Amino acid sequence: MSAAKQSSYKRWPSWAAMALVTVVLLAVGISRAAEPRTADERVSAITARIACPVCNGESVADSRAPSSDQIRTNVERLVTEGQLTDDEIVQRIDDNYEGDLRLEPGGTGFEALAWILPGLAALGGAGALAFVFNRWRANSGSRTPSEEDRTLVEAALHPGGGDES
Amino acid sequence: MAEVREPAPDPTADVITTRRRPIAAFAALGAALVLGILFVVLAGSDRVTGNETAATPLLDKAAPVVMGATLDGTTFDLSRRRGNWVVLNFFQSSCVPCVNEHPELVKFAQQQSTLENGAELVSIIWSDRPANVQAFFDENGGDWPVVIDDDGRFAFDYGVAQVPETWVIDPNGRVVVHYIGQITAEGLSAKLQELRSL
Repeated sequence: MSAAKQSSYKRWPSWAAMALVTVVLLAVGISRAAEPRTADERVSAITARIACPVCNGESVADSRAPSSDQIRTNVERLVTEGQLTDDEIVQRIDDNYEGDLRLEPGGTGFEALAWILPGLAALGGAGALAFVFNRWRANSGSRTPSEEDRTLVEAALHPGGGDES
Repeated sequence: MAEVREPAPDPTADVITTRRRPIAAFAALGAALVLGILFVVLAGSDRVTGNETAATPLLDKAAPVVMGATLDGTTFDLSRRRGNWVVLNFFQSSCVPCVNEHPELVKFAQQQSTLENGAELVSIIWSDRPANVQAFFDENGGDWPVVIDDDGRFAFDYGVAQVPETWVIDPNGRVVVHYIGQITAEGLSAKLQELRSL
């Protein structure tokens, strides 16, 4: 078996371990997000997604403006009633108030770029890394001594050759 | 005899001048375009004040429920006012534009009371204590219903972020006009007259 092939087999466990860790972390993250939350946690999460209608750059969760107080109170009521999901409550607030109060970008049109671009950047980065790693591997492969090199080195180290044996 | 030659003109000089001019012109044009767009965007902003109507997602839709106790202890129910024009005014006794607007509302209520199908004016307390509002009305006049909105539900349903805000509900219970900021009795009456004649 060639040295390059041996080296490639040696790398397998590290790649497999990295993939396993990624999958486990993603699974943990998803399962934690899916856990049932308390009403207070829901209210905090929802109000953090809505901009205070009369402030600059503050969420309803952070703002002490009267209109934010009213929105918070009504989010608490809607959460307690338990008939709407978080997304539906955010949608309702967005429908009630003039202007766009959502702090998170939408999923369509120009705003969708905010979701798409990081994914594209991650893919591009992964592609660039793969390209660089491959080049490194190719370069390191060319430096692996060939059989001819080994023979030459052997001959240099042992000028007598096989006569000694 | 040796010919005296004039030095040849530097060909790059003209090129540089002619190249710089379009760049400056394009930069100026770009800046003007950006300023123009900003002007159009700001001029077209929906948030207006005074007697200009303001955009609302509720326009031409059924008016959200307003049913609650009033300062005089009765219950106001907007759904029972079908067939009448209703003007809802969100009010706070410590808000300066609300205080300035109040005499206009008193005048408007008097004007409407003389009409056969005059609009009914209703105030909704916005982020204020009922006792403060009662004291304000006692001092400044106004005998129309004042609805208590303790949990801000009516303000939430109408999307009221600042006061004063005024909403006109038609006899079918639909939102037809929304004002942000101070209004005048003349402006509101004229708008209602216009709506009645449609």
